[in-house]
Amino acid sequence: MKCEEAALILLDGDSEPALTAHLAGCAECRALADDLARIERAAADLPREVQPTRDLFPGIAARIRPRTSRWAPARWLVAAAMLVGVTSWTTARVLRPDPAPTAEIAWDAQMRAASAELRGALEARRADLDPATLATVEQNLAVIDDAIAETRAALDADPEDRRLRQALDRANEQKISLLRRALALDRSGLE
Amino acid sequence: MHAHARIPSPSPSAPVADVRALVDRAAAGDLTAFEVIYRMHVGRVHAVSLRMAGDPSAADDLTQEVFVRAWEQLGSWRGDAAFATWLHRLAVNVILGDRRATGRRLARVEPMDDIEGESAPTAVDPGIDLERALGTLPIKARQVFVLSQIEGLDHAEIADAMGTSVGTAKSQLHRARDLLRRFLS
Repeated sequence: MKCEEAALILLDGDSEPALTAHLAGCAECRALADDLARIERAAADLPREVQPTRDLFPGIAARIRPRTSRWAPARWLVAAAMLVGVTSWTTARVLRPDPAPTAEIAWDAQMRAASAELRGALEARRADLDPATLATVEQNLAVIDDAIAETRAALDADPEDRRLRQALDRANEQKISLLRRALALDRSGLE
Repeated sequence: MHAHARIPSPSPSAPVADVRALVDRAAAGDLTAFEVIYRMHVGRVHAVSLRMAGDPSAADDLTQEVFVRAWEQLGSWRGDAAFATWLHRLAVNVILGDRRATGRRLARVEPMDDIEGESAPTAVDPGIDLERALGTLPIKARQVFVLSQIEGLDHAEIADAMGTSVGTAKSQLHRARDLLRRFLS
């Protein structure tokens, strides 16, 4: 066996009798084998757990959607929608042309379709809703729609920007969540 | 909104029944139960995120994303695998599917590519800083190395998780090992 072949086998992490025989007579390949063994041991010795340097749970709690069907206070809705707007405006600063990934486009299209369907359902129930509640919902939808439009425009210019993609996903999710909650309302309105 | 109060981390080796009860409570909307789950598993998830992403800030984002997805998908855990295994699998999928692991923000200089073909390195220092060395690897090579040599997945599992072929996974591992040895020498 030549050294080149031995190196290939070693770097692949494989083993075979001919390699063992080669290593017995080749100090250079033996050194490579020893180095790789040290790397493997170092990898095995790495801690299985690494705590983040800050508490990430508040950020998680802020992002996850409650499973109950209860309405959050209207003030929260306004604040959330405004946050989406500000976030999108801020992240829409960086522009760079590139084609959008197909999967992302498909996902965005699904979100659009879901929003459109829910919006249609809301329109059909418009007469059943309390006017003040409906006004609040419309106000928040307008803010979210603005945020979505801005973010989509920025994404058209920079399809690889993950923060823009996340901002768009969050805005879409908030819109869908808002529409679903609105559809669950009766004339008693917001809490 | 959730009034956040830090909850002490329970033992990671909590009895299965306790884990089941916690997951059931969280799946029903109990955020406090979910926080307990988070504190039980965040170290493990963050370790994978950090090593796969190679960037602390991105790792924080990924860790949060994993738990947000976990919250959304808790109901899909049937208990046929350990919850930690289910969560780990979810974490790998989230990390591999996230553009920050492949996007231009982390498409930093790949210095290791430039040294291929240089003269053979000397021996690896016994006290190697593998964490730092991992951070210098090209993204795909790093991901495959972490999944293989740290997380213990075999080539087929890695290929499946990454949506690539077994041959490509092996090739990336080969590359990672070669680059690490050169870097650490």
